[in-house]
Amino acid sequence: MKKILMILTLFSLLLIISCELSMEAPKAGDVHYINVGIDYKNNGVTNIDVTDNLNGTVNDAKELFDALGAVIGKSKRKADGFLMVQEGNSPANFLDPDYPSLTNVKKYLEELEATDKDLTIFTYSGHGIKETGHLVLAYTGSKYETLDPRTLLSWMDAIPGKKLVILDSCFSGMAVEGSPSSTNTVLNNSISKFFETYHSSGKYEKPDLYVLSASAHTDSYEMDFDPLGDKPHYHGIFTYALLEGLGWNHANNSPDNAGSPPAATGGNITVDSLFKYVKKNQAIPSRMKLLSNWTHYQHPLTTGGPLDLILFNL
Amino acid sequence: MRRTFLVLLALILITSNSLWSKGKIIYALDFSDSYYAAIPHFEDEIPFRSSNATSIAVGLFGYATENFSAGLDLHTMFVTPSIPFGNYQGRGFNSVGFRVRGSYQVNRRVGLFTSISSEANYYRTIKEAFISYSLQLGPQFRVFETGMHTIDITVPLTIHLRKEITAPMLGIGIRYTLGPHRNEESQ
Repeated sequence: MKKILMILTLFSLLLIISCELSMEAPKAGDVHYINVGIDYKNNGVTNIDVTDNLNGTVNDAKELFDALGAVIGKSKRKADGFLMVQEGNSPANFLDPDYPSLTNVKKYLEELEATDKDLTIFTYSGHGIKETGHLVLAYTGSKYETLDPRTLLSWMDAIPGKKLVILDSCFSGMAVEGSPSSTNTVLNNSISKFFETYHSSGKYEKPDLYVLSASAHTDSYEMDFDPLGDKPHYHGIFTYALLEGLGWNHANNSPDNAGSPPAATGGNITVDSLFKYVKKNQAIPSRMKLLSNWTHYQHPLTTGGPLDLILFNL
Repeated sequence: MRRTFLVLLALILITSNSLWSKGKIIYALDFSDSYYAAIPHFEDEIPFRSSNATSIAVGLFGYATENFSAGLDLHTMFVTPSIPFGNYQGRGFNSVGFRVRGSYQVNRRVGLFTSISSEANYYRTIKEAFISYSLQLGPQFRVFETGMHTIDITVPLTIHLRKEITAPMLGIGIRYTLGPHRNEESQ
C-alpha cells in the first residue's frame, strides 16, 4: 500500500510541476481581421467558372465581421477589422480600398502591420473553382480575377504572428496543406499512407498559419435560413454554423453578449473547437449517409498535426 | 504495410499455438491511466505538453508458465488534449493497436512486465491519423490470486514514439488475468 501511495504522490508531483503550470505563458497581442464577401451580381457577363450569383456570401462576411468583433471584445484584446464586400448590381468603384478585387486584397494584406504576438484572421465567402479551389475575386470591369489559395497563404505567411484563413467556398479544402506528421482521413483513408507519412522525410514544424475550410474536395453550399421570414436570409452552410459557434444570435441578427460562445471549450476558442462545432451543427451532413434526405454533403477541413491553435481566451 | 502485416500474422500464429498445446492459456483485461508528457522534436513554446492517457487492453492470446507469461494484447488508448498553454494546445487522440507483452514473476507478490506495440492513432476532432510505436515496462504487484484468477496492480512506464513527438508516460493500472497461472501444488 505504501508503494502505491508513493507512486500516486510522484504522479501528482509530476502534474504539479508540469510546464503548463510552472512557466509563464506568452502574452497575446492584437487581433486583425479581414472579412471578404462577394455576391458577383455586378458583372453583367457570365464567367465560365462562375455560373451563379451568390446570395449568402455578403451576409457571411458582414455578420462574421460583427461576430469576430464581439468575441475579440470578450477576450479583452485590441482589434482592428476591415470589411471588403462587393454587394448588388450597382457599378462599383474598383479603386475603393474595401472593394474585394485581387489588387485590393493583396495590397491590404501586404501593408497590414502586425507583431509576432498578434493574430490575423482572414475570411473569404465566395466562389471556389472546381478541383483547384482557386478563389474568384470581385469583378473589375473586364474580368474576374482568380487567386490561387497557395498565393493567398504566402501573403498571409508573410504577416508576423499567428494567422487563420477561413474559406467558405467550393473545393476550399484544396487550400489545406497536408501535414508531414499525420494523414487526413477525409481525403485519404489508406493505412499504408499512414505508414508512408511516418517514415517520410518531411519534418513537422509548429505552424503559424492555420486554414479552416468549408469543404474538402467537394462543392460547398448556401441556403435560406429564414424561409418563413419576410425576405430570405441566405448564408453559407459552414459560415452559418461558424457564426453560431462564435456566439452569433441568428434570431436577433446580433452578437449574443451573454455567456461564453457555444464553440468555447474550457474558456478557449480554438481552431479545433470551431471545426468541431461546425461539423456537429452544420445544416447538411458532413458525409454521405444512406438514410439521410440530403443528397449533398460537405466536410470541413483544417490544418493537421499535433497542435491546435488557441484563438481567444475568454 | 505488408511487412507489418506479416509480422503481426507471425505473432498471432506463434501465440495461437498455445491454443492447441497442453500449456496454460491465459486471457487478460488491462486498464491503466497515465500522465502523458509530449516532448516535441520541433521548436515549441514549452519543453513538453501534459495530457492524460487512459489505456484499455484485452489479452487475446496468452501463455503462462510458473514464472513467465507472454501474450498478444489488443490495446486502445485515449489521450486528452493537453493543458492549454500560450498559443497552442496539444490535440487529443485515440489509438488502437496490437502489443506483445511478456512478464516475469519475481516472487508471489512482485513481478516485472514489458511490451512493444504499434498503433494507429486518430486525432478525433479533425479526422487525421498517424502511426506510432510504443515500448513499455514496469513492475506489477499481485493483490489477488486464486487458481484461475489473478489481479495485479501495474505501474507502466511507457515511451510513445510518434514522428514529431516522443512521449514518456507514467501511470498506474490494474490487470486481471483469467487462466491457470500456477500449478495447484505450488499454491
